[in-house]
Amino acid sequence: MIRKILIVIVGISIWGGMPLLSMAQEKTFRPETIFMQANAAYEHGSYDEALSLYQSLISGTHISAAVYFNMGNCYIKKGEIGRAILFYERARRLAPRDGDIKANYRYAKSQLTEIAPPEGKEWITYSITRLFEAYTINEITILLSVVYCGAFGLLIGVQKMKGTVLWRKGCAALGVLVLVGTFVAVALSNRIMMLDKEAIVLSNEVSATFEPIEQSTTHFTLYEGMKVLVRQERGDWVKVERADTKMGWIKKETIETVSFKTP
Amino acid sequence: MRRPLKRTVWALVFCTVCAVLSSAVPACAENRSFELTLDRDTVELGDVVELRLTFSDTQSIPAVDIPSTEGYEIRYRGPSTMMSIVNGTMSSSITHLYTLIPQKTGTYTLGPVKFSYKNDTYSSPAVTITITDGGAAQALSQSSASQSASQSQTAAQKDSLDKYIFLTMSLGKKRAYVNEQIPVTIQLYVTRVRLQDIQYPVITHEGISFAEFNKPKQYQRILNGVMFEVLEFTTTAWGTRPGSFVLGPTEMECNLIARKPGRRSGAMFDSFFGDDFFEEFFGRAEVHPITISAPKQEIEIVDVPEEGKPASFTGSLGNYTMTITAQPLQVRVGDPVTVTMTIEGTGNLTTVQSPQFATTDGFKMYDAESTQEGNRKVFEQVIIPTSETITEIPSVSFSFFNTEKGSYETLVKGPLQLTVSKPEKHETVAIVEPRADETKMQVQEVLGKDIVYIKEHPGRWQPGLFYYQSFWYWCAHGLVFFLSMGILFYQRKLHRLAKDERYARKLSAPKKARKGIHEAELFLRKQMTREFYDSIHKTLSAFVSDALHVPIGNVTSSVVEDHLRKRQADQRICDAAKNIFDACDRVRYAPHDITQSGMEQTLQELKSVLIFLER
Repeated sequence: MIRKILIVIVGISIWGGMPLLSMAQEKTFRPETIFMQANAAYEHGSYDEALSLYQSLISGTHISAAVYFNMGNCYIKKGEIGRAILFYERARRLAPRDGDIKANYRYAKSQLTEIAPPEGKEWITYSITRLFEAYTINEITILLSVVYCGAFGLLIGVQKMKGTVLWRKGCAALGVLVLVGTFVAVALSNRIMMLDKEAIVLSNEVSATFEPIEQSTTHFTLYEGMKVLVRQERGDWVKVERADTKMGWIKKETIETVSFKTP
Repeated sequence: MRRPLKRTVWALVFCTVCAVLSSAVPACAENRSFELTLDRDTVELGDVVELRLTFSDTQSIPAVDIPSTEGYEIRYRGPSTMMSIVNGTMSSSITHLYTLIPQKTGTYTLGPVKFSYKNDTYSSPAVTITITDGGAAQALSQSSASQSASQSQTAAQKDSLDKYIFLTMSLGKKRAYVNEQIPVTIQLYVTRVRLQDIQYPVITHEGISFAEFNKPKQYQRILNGVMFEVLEFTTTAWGTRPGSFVLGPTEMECNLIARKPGRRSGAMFDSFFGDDFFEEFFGRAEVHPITISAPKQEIEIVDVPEEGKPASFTGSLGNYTMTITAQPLQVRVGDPVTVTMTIEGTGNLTTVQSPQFATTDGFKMYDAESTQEGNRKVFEQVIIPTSETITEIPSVSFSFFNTEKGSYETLVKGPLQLTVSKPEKHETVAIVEPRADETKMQVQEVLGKDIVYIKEHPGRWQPGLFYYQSFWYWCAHGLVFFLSMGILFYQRKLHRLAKDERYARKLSAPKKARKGIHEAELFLRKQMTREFYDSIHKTLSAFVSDALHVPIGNVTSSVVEDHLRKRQADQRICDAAKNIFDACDRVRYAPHDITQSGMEQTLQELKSVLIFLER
C-alpha cells in the first residue's frame, strides 16, 4: 500500500513538475530578458553584442519602439549615423510622440555633414500628413473607424430627424464628419503608401544617375542619413526621389527601407 | 498729201515745246477765289452754324484765321480734303470747317475773306447771316405787359445771350473794417439754355482774402417775369489791410449745350435742367465752353480806430459772448485744472485769440488749445496750482471790436472758486539698488549635447500586423456598413407604411389572406358551413380591396373578374372567382345544398385565385 502511494506521489510529482521545468526553460528565452541582456551589453560598451541581441528580438517578431531606439543609440555610439537615423525612424513610427526618440533623432540629424534639400511636395497632401504626424498608423486607423461608425450613426439619426428642426444641424454635422473622415483617410493612405517606400541612405556619398547604368550621368548626390522615397526597383538598382522631388537611380545596397521587418 | 502732214507734225512739236517751256517758267502771282459758305443763313441764339472755306485744285492751303465779332464767335474745327477721278481727270479740294456761335441777334455780313499765300491772293465773296432769338423772345414778350416797368432794363440785354445766362456778385457791405467778415454771394442765372460742367467762380482780388465756398444752393427765381434756375455760391471775404479795393471781375467757366443745326423741331432753347439726354446720347448736341463773368465791385477797407483800444485787444472783430468753466474745482497742489473758455457770436472767428487771465501768479500755465465749430470757438487751457494758498482761478478777459456798434468791448468772467489742498505725500527719490545676487552677470550657459540614454524597459510589444491589415478589421467595417444600410432601408419602409396607405394595404393583403385561409380551413374541419363561406368571402374581398385600394363593400364578383381580366388571368381563374362568389351567395339562400366536397373545392378555388393575385 505504501509502495503504491509512493508510486502515485512520484508520478504526480513528475507530471506536475514537467510544466514547471518547461516554464523555467522558457524564462531564459523571454524577450524581456534578452532586452535586459542587450542593455547590459550596451552599458559595457559591447555595442555589436547588444545589436545582435536586439536583432534577435526583432527577428522573433518582438517589435517595440524601445528596441529600435536602443539600436539607434548603439549605431550612434559606433559612429554609423545613417543607420542610427534609420532605427530612430523605425522607433518614431511606433512611438511618434516619444520625447527621447525625438531628441536622439534630432541629435543624429545634427551630426550629418550634408543637409537635405527643402521639401517640394504637394501642399495639401503634405499638410494633412503633417497634421497626423504625431499619431501611429494604428491610432489613425482607429480614428478613421470611429469617424466611419459615427458617420453611419449620424446618417441613421438624420434619416430619423427628417422634417424636424434638428435635421439641418444633423446634416451639417454629417458634412463635417465626412470632411474630417476624408482628411483622416488621406493621411492614413499616405502613411500606408510611405510604409515600404521611405528609405535612409547608408553610404557616405551616393551619386544618383539618370539611368540604372554604371556609366550614366550623375543627376544629383545623396549623403548618409538623407531620407528618400523608393519609386521603382530594377535588378540591383532602385529609383529614388529626394525631398525636392528630384529622381535618380542608385544601387540598392546604398539604402535601407524603414519598414519594420528589415534588419 | 505729204506736205500738209509734215506741217501738222511741226505744229505739234512747236506746241509741245511751248508747253514745256511755259511750265518751266515760275508761276506768276495771281488772284484766286475760293468759296465761303454757311449751311444756313438764319440762326437762332443757342444754335450753331457751320462755316466752310473750300479751295479747289489744291490741298495745301492752311487754315485761315477768321476774326470773331460782337455778334458771333468763330472757332476752327479742322480741315476736310477730297479727291475724285472722273473720266480719268483727277480733281482735289480742301475745305476748312468752322463753327459760328451766335452771340447777339442781328444781321451780320461775314467776309469777304482775303489772304495771301505763296504769292497768290485769295478772296471769297461775302455772306450774310441773320441771328434771331426765336422762342425766347416770344416768352419774354408774353410777360412784357406786366413787366413794362422793367422792359427798358432788359432791353439792353435782349439782343444778347447774356439775358439767358448771367452771373451776379453781391457783397454784404461796401465798407468794412480790417479782418471784418464780408458776406459774398455769387449767383448764376440760367434760363432756356442748358449748361454742364459748371466750375466754381474765380474772383480777381487784391488785398482781400476769401474763405472757401460753401456748398452751392440751387433754386428757382422769377426775374422780370422769366423763371430762372439759380445756382448760388456763398463765401466770406475780409480785408487784410486798409484801402480801396476792387473785387472782380468774377468769372465762371462752364459748357453750353447746343443742338446741331437742322434737326430742331421744338422751342429754340431747352431748359437748363431739361431732358436732353437722348439728344446728347445720339450726338445731336454740341458742347461749347463758355466763360460767364460778373462785373467788378468796389469795396473800402478801413482800420479799427485807435481811440479806446483796450490793452487786451488782439484783433478780434465781431459781436461775441463768453462763458467760462473749470474742472475740477477741488485739487491738490500739482494737479491740473482745465479751464474751458467759449467765445460765441458773429464775426471772423479765425482772428479770435484766447482770452487772457488777469494774473498767472501761483499757477503754472500751459498754452490754450482751441477748436472751432460754426459760430463758436472753444479754448481749453490747463493750469496747475503750485501752492495750497490759492483759493480761486483768476478772472479772464476778452476784448473785441464790435463792428455793429463801431466800438471796443471787453468781456470779463470769473474768478472761479478753487480749493487747493496739500499734496498727499511728498515725492521722494528712491534709489533702488540691485540685490547682490542680481549684480552677477548672466553668463550664457553652454549646454552639453548628446543622445538620451537607452530605454531600460522594452515597453509594449507591437503586434505583427497593423489593424488595417487584419481581416476582422474589414469584416467589422462591412458589418457596420450592411447593418447601417439595413436600418436605413427599414426606416424608409416604416416611413412609407406610415405615409402611403395604398402601399401598406397592398403589403398586408397576403398576410391577411393566409390568416383567412387558415380560418376557413378551421371552419371546414368543424363543418361550420356558414362561417366557412363568410370567411372565404371576407378573405377574397379583403384581398382585392387591399390590392385595388377600394372599400371592401365595393368588391363584387364583377369587380374581381374585371381585375383578373386586366391582369390577363386565364378563364379557369376567372371562373373560380365567380364560383366562389356564387357559392357564398348560394349558402345564404340554400345552405342545405352545400356539401363537404363543395366546400373543399371552394377553398381550393380561393387558394388558386389568391396565388394568381399574389404574383
